Amino acid sequence: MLRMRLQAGASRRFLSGTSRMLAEKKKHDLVVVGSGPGGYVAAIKAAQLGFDTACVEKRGRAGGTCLNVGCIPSKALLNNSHLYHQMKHEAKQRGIDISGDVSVNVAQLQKAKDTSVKQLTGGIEMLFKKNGVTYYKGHGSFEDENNIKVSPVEGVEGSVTEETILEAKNIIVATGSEVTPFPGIKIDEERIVSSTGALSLKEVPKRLAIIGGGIIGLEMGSVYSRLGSKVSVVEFLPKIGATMDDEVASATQKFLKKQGFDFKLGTKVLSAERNGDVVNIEVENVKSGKKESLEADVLLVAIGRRPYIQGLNAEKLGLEVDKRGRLVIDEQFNTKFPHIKVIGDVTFGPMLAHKAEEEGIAAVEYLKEGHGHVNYANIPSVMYTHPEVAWVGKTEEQLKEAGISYKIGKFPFMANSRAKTNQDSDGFVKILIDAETERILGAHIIGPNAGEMIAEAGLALEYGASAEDVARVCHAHPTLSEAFKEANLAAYSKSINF
Amino acid sequence: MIARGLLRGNAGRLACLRALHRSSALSKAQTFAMPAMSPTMEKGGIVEWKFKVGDPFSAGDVLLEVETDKAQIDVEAQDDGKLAKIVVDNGAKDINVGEVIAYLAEPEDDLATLELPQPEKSTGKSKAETKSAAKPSATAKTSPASISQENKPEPKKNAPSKSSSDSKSSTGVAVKANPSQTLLPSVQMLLHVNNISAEDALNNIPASGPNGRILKGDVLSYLGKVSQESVTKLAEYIEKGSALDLTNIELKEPEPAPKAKEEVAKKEPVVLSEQLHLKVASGVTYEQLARSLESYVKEAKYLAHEQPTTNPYSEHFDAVFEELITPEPRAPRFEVSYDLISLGSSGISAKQQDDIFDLLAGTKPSPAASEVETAQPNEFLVSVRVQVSDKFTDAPTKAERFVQYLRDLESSAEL
Ligand SMILES: Cc1cc2nc3c(=O)[nH]c(=O)nc-3n(C[C@H](O)[C@H](O)[C@H](O)COP(=O)(O)OP(=O)(O)OC[C@H]3O[C@@H](n4cnc5c(N)ncnc54)[C@H](O)[C@@H]3O)c2cc1C
Repeated sequence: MLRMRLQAGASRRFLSGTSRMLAEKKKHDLVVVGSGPGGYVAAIKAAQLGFDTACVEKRGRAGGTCLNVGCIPSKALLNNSHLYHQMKHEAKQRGIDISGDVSVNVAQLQKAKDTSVKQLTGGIEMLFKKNGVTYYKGHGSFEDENNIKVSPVEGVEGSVTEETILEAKNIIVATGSEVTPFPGIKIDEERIVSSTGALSLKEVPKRLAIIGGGIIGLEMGSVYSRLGSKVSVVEFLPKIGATMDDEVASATQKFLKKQGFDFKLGTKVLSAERNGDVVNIEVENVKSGKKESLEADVLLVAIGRRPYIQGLNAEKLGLEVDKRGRLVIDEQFNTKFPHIKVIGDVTFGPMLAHKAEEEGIAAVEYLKEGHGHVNYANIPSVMYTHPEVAWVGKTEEQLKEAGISYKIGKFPFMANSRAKTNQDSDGFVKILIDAETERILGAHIIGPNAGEMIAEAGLALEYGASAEDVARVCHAHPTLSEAFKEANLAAYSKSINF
Repeated sequence: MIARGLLRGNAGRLACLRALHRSSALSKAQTFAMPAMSPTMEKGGIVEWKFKVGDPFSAGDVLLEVETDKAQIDVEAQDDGKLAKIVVDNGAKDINVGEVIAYLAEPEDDLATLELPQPEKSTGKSKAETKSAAKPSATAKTSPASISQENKPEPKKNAPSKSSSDSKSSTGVAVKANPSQTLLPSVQMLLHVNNISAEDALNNIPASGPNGRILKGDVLSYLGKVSQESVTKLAEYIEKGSALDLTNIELKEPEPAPKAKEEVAKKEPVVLSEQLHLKVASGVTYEQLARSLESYVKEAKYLAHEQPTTNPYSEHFDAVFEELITPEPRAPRFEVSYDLISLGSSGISAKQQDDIFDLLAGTKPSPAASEVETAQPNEFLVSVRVQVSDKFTDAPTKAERFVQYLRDLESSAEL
């Protein structure tokens, strides 16, 4: 309360005073720019806490990258391509005879994906209504530190029809990220695509080349590999899977290789060019300097994402930007203006939807209570390939670097009864604990349902549990989660079933 | 009561803590122990109690003044209440941190019927008590009082440091256990096996888990099976990762004004020149040295270009990203020319060595060398010119790195 009173008295400085005179003017306690997982969660939470809240989104449909061109559509394609693959290759041996051919209908696959996306993005608008968040469809930019200008965006249904000025006591910037372009490679979203283009290909490419062996590249690669593409991944680093534990990364690579992936690690792309219906890619081995030419029908550029502040006027306002384009914040998400906070992909930390959401809640709690909390040591990562890969906490490499002596508990799904019954038993659970106190430091799962199972590890980490604390909790039988329990048992004692 | 406390805006978090520390039986008085005013404080004295038994105080009132060897500090009440009993009186010195100095009651409690915690409990278990209390990291948070904190609103920028030091006492290194916790199964088991009651554990075992949770490691340390130091070290390590690393932020360089470009173009090109003095074994010919020098220069040039100019060990480092933000990553940052001049007489090639370091290492007297007319090794001068490109901001760094590679050659020759 105190803070808000101070701000009301703060002086106002206009960067420009041109069209503002004509614009409609509205007042809000809080204006959130961007409706991705960071922005929409912040807006709803703020409305629930009694702030008069507005959310501005230039895309029109709410939900940001995650719901429109990220987490949700990719998981829709991953799930259905997995079903197809299972039917095609496993049905018979599982005792299901399918008369006629099992084939892919790409158009329908895309439609199923679009339906999920529409339902979920529409759901957010419903939640906005329910919680009293005013939703402005239009492009937001700083007019000055207390005013956000919303401009109409062509082609966006329901966009504001004229420039509108939102006077805000508090502002949260959640403008997210965009695909990092590869210098010299032109993305046409047809033959040379970003993840966005890869999510809506009209046919299955015979050969799909991917630059970048991170999560997004491997997930999209899995979709098309299951649908019949020959997938090759070119990765600059000597390992795939970004921040994954090394052992898990190499297991992942092994499983994906078995599925038909071709990996070129420690290899950099020199150039890629579209020639009619093919893409020619020149690569060079980082160590040996050996050059090689690849040809593909579609090239996916998936080397990461970069913060997005285009057209926001953030720099003009004087907000600091770091070398990688991130808006600079302090521990309370504050910019140099204490009433302007920044959350999600556009600032520091892992670019994950659930991280953005946590920050959305915490930022609003700072506004309301003067205190909020995100435990950055406990943010899980999941890769939805098959088998899935999920991890939280420290990797072995991090513990080695910090000089922490640790013990490992490992349990293979091979020895888990549910995995066996499902005939889906690739992978393992790996638990890292402190050698002395046995406190759990990290959990790394590669295997069926890893993404769901990691939640248990998160809970354990949050409460400071030791491996024994997990092992002493009764887990239902037969479930995959028993493997998690057994790995914990193995970490401080001995597993029973292996 | 608790709800009212939570409404206090800026002390919201402290209020939560307080709520957690409240014992479930409200008709019981709460112990109030000598607080630790600093991480290193082990003992303190009581200068003066500011309230008499039975007189109500409000949150924020100074309850007493404590003195350490360094300072006198006010201890503030975090909640309304009254003193039920003063155990240690004014003027007492050398009281261990964690030792009970008073009992506190709720404002509405009737002191006549109020149940004081059994005094034997703290004296009877005094061995364990002093053991934990003597630990420098064990802060006593038994009661709704804490180190005096100025109540005036702080400027926003200072707030983060305050909140982070706050959270240290709740999640970080060992604090007094939260009395309202459900014990972890591993902890229950260990206590049972070692005949420690849950009550004793909550009173005596410093907790290193989040929000005053006693962890298995804390019990192991209490039992002397692992060192308190490893518990502390681990808790600190985990605590460190729980916040975003916002140190060493490198701000984007402001876009160069178009004018500046012309100025740069007019500047004299930067040329680094370097004279290297090489001694090689007498058997080595000029041609041999020239050949291996050429390949060394080539390699040095490649390496000087290839290595990133930012610290690859920084948490913010990302090889792919570095490559992306580097303008024309494969364009040369400098051009090299050099002359190799022979200073001494050249002998007959004795060995077929191509690696320059082998040639240089050959300066050690070898039987082959001593047979040649002069025992003097061959001496060469390499005169290098490095023309640094003015188009790239990282060019000077890379050129300098290249020169350093060449100097390495000289220093290895002198070995
Ligand atoms: C293919 C793919 C798969 C992914 N899968 C996962 C996954 O499985 N799990 C996971 O956790 N994360 C995943 N991610 C990452 C996840 O999508 C992001 O971390 C998340 O969306 C970040 O949320 P955000 O709110 O910070 O930003 P965003 O979701 O990017 O939202 C920002 C929004 O702000 C809008 N905006 C920007 N500027 C303005 C402006 N000036 N005015 C108005 N509106 C503006 C944008 O249009 C956008 O809608 C995936 C990403 C991709 C690309």
